[in-house]
Amino acid sequence: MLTSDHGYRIAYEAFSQFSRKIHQARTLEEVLQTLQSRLKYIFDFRVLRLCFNHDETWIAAKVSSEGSYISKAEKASLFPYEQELRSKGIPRVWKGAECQNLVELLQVQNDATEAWAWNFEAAPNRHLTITLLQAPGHNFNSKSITFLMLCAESLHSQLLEICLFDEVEQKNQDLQKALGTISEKNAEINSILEHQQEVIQSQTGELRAKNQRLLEISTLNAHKVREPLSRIIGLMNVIELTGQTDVADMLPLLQSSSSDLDEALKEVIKMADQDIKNLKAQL
Amino acid sequence: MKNIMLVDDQSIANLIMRKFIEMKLQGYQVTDFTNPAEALQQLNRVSPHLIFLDLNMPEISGWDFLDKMQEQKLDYKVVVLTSSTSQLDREKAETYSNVIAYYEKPFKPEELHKVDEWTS
Repeated sequence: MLTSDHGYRIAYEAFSQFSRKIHQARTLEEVLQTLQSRLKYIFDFRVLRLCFNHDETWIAAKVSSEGSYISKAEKASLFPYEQELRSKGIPRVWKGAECQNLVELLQVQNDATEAWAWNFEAAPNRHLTITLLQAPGHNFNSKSITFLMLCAESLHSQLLEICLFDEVEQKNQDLQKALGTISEKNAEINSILEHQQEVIQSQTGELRAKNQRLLEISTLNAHKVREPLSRIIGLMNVIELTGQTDVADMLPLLQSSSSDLDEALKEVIKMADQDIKNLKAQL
Repeated sequence: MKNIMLVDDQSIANLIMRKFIEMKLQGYQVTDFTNPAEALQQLNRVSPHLIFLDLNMPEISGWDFLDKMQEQKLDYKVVVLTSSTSQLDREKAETYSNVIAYYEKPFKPEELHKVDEWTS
């Protein structure tokens, strides 16, 4: 297929279409569809397996005429040879009996006689491993590898984009949940605050009323007591000014005012006792 | 002779004030009332140069007395004498244009030296 310039142009055109489609893919299913429908026009293969990871997100896919799949997981499911590829970074080729082992490992039933595997490392936390099984007589050669690498780059960037998009989507959902929780809590807090305001207003009203009553009682008591007291003081001033000539006349007045003062004090004490009783009853 | 009117429901309070005036001042005739309603009726007859008025009285309080004077457009000078210690009462009394002084009881006879000025 790639033995002439014409073959190159066809392969390049096929790759262009693959690349355009793969960059349009927004889901893993769309990626798989593109792999199934476009890859075969770029190079020959019987089975293609890829394993991609970004941090702890793992994507595995297999494209074959026997059946294809793509899946996403949070755990690695690498074959031993893929782990070796990742650690050493050296591409591998299997032929003959060695290839049969790989056929069994990948659980495919076909006549593949040659296999290739590469590891593409874009970053320490991001790898793409591609395994390709080839049937006898098919033409996958070293020139095809150039296109495979181009495909790998496209896949790499698109799978990363899908992973990041999923992460953003997940975080967005988490944020929406958090926002919902915050809204609920906010409503609870507002409810509590409103209730507290009602309680505070009620208690403030009661306290204000009590204070007003105490003020009134205090003023009344002061007035009741001060009235006869001021008379007593006034009479004493009169006696002082007249040089005690009016003492006999003033004495009954003093007694009367003293009696008034005594009555006023008794009334004040009675009212205070009643207030104390009322306060105790409210507690 | 100048006329001084005493209005206090307590006759002893009026007696004390009368004694103070007699001992401290000369040239004043004192008329006292324990019934504010009667005092109001007699206002124009007595035509006082000064009224010593108590605030806390039954039936007609000192405030009522002042209001009725205003209604009748009587602007006799008034000195308030009260056993109340309320600042509100003091501030309220200041709103009456004919109230020229405000004293908390007991009234000190030394303050009477201002009467000549008040009645001039």
